[in-house]
Amino acid sequence: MKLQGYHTPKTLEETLSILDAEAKRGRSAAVLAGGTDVMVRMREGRMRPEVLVQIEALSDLAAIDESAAAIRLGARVSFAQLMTSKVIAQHAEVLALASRDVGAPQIQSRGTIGGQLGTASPVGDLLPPLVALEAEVIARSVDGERRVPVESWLRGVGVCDRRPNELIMGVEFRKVSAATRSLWHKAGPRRAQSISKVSFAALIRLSAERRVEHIRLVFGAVAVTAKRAAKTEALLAGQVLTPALIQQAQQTAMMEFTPITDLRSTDAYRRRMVGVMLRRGLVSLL
Amino acid sequence: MTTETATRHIGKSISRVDGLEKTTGELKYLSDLLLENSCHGKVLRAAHPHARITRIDTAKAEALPGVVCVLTHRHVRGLNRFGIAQPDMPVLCEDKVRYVGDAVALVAAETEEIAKDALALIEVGYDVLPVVDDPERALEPGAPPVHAKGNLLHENGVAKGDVARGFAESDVVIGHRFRTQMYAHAFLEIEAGTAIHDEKTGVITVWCAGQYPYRDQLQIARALGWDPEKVHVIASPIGGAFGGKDEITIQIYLALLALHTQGRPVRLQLTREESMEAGTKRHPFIIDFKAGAAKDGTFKALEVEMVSDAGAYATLSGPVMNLAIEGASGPYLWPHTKIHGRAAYTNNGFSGAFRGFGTTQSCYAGEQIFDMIAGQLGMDPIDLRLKNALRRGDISAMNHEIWTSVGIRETLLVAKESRLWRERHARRGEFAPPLFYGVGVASEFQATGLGKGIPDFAGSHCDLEAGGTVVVRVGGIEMGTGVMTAYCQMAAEALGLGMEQVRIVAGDTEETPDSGTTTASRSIYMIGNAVTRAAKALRKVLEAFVAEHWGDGHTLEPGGVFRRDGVSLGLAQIAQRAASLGTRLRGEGHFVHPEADKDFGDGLPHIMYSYCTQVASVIVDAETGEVRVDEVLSIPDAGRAINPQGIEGQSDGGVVMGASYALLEEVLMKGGRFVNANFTNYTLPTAVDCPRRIDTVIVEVPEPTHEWGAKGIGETVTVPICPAICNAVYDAIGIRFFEIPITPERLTAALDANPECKAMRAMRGVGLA
Ligand SMILES: Cc1cc2nc3c(=O)[nH]c(=O)nc-3n(C[C@H](O)[C@H](O)[C@H](O)COP(=O)(O)OP(=O)(O)OC[C@H]3O[C@@H](n4cnc5c(N)ncnc54)[C@H](O)[C@@H]3O)c2cc1C
Repeated sequence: MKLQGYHTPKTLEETLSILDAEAKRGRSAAVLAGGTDVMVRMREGRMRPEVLVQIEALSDLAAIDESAAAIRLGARVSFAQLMTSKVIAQHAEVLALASRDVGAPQIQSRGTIGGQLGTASPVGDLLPPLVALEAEVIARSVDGERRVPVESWLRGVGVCDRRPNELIMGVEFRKVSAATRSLWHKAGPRRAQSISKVSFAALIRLSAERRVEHIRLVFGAVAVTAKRAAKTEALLAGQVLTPALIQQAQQTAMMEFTPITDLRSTDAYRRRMVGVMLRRGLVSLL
Repeated sequence: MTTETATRHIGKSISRVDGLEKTTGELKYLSDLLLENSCHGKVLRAAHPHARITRIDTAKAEALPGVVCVLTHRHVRGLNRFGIAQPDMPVLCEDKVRYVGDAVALVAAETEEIAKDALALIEVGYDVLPVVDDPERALEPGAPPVHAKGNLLHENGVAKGDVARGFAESDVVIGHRFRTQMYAHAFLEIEAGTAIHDEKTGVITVWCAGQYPYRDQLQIARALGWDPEKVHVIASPIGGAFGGKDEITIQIYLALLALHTQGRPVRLQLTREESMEAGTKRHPFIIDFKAGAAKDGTFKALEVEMVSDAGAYATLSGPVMNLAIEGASGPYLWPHTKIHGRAAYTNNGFSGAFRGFGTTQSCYAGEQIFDMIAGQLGMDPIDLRLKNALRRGDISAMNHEIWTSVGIRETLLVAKESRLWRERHARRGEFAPPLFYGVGVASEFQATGLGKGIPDFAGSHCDLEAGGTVVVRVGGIEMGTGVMTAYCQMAAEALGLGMEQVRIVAGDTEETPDSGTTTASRSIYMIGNAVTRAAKALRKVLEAFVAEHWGDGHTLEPGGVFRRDGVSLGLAQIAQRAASLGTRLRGEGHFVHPEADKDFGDGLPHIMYSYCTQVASVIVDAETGEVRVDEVLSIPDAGRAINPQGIEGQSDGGVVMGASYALLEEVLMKGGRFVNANFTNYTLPTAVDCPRRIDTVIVEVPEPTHEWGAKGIGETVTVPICPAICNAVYDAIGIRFFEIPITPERLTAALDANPECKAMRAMRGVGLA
């Protein structure tokens, strides 16, 4: 099927009614945000939308909003915004760390958080941080607004919970406390413009005596979606962090995932890197 | 050779004459050309890596509105084959396809989109044949034949003395099997061009990047069945080639299409994926390399057996294997040698010319074996190489006398005295597990020029033109190496002019003389000689013209001013007088490459070599398997540096390319199909992946047969870096890699398999393994 239409709605209402009308007509419509996935995929024939809905006019969606306890990111917030925002640096540093490792400056300027959630790639670099933050996706259609935890939003390789007439409005999550440490590590074939072989995002709060009070360990590219290392979290929760415990956690984490071998890496290497990233991250807290 | 006198341009670091317009993007490449009223072409590629064609039906495609023409083999009126060394590659396949890049049909249409749609409407029937995807198995009896004559494309060997005796006399003998990967040129400028058929003059003009416009002209004319005079090829400037635009790429398609578009121009541009799949690659090699040495390090015997995967067609696979054979000995003296290689046809794409040209592969194997010998003997690797380094007048591993300049010893001495080498043990202590530091060295000699028996000549014209500008005409092309600046320097020097008084016209079969191919590191040497001779000839012509028209007693002063008794006569004035008389003030220069006295066929051997030693330090992370190249010292022997800055640029680029060969890039294939034929998954290094620091020290051992003493270094600077890195990795962790690239996956798997290597022992010592 060839591209048949290109919409440039001026308002949110217009956008939602276009999405709804196209869905009712049975035409496949794709929202076009930064286009850094859409353009690539359409050219490769991996995505064949019949209409594109460009949302550049929806400037509200490009905002980072802060309330007393939470932060809300509009779907059009770019990697570059996340890298430079003071609010993010203070309350959700893990997003800034991950954004810095995305693509290169051009992609950082164009690519958006809505695009990450829409593409739902196993290698989407913001997805492990969003899972660690326990963010909720806010999706809206003419029928109303829904909130879905990121973990259940991501359903498979390139599959998300979005309904055909829905627009991703953004995400919301609780602020990370000042005492919580953010960890991020990405391993790819090269040091920039690189698709993750394995990625790792974590939020950890230790007490003064290094007891683990809060822990979220999330890995990317080792399962069909960004996934928490639940057993390792359970092993560490409430325990005092010691070199011996870290070694045990490294082993546990490696056994938690069954990554695949593909053209970018091997299952053995990915599993090894899960352990190495976790070990290095935890050691940095000691 | 001229004696050392003060020079104005030669030996000076001069910014490129085309530098500014390339930096600003103002320079228009041939792929940027879009003529008014152009049609757009597309190529239908094979649907299978190996299949018999049973039927081709183009009716539906022809009926699509907006389609201008659909062409198949039936439209090829001349020889439906091309290929530099032997024409075995179909322009458009008639009965069989042999790789997924094979062209079956061409379309021209009003838009690129319509042309693309038309491709989908062409019906091609195939009988699929078994895929030959392993070069060794391809050569076994009973393997399915890729070509009717069988799968052995080329076989050659050289020998000296008696290897059995040499090994018997050796105190240490080391042998191993090595493998190299398929590697992509990945030039920035994808194959693209325009052609137009002038129905009045009958001439077809083709604007398309190619490393040898005159040979492109010949191959196009041969396929059309035309007189080459009727084919006009413009091939320069080029946005990168590295050997990948030496063979015909799309020039014949362009010409064929232009014949069927009623005089309208036709433009064709491949996609990156198509370029990766259809274009030339660097050959994967399997190399059995064995060498023996005496206790004191003296090399005794060398035995090498190689098989290369040529892919589906010959192009330059024979000569590439020949250079692998020639390069296998390294720049060393051997009493006993036996070196043999075969190139096999398979359905794995097609391989051909690539910067380094076969020496890349054999040097990678040999320089590791030599390092292993040094290790076994407890010798400093540089001392081992110095002990055996060739000298001018030595008899090569192929039994011919090398009477040209030899600078390998000088490069090794610079390496030995370098900070990087002297501090290699001391710096190790700065790193704690999981990080390991190591330093490695490797040397190379790269045959330059086309070699024995292959016509190797260059011509140049130097004209004084209106306004007093000297225009240098060369058939060579600029593909990013900076040769045009060097030609300018040489011509300006010979004429005593400023750089701005000289302009170069290049790579055009109507405008410029034949200067041969821009490959084989030959331009500075061959074309440089022709340009210098043309400039010197013009100087004589000018002196005679001035004497004839303004009388005797003038002297030519710097800046091109003739002076007598305080009265000066400028070049513009002279040009004006010549124009009014209808006289052309031209100097011509020609040069023919000297040849070796032995002949092993297909250009083997050469008589001239460039030499290079490179030292690399690496930091290996034994947990993640990542290898970071820290510092590189690159030491080419340039004969004499025409433009040191130009050499540094070549050296920087060569090092980055060679480091990526060692650590990063690999074209993956499965059953004759490409797996990573795009820039998403074929990972090229970015700026932050480059070595932290690259220093180039130029060694100058002048070459007597060059007007200024220069030799080409374009290839040699990219070759030893790969084995130098392999040797540095060994130095760091104590594991040898017989397969490249050394990816983190391979490195960590090797660590797991070698628990007793020095890195793993150190890791256990600190509880990291
Ligand atoms: C060279 C290059 C390098 C890259 N490097 C990285 C990297 O390092 N890490 C990484 O994670 N990714 C990388 N990417 C992928 C890409 O940049 C990211 O996935 C980015 O987040 C996509 O955002 P976008 O705004 O460009 O999305 P688009 O391409 O505009 O959209 C992507 C998908 O999301 C949907 N969508 C977008 N916004 C909405 C919305 N508001 N509501 C509903 N659906 C929506 C679209 O319909 C589409 O399906 C790279 C891409 C390129 C081309």
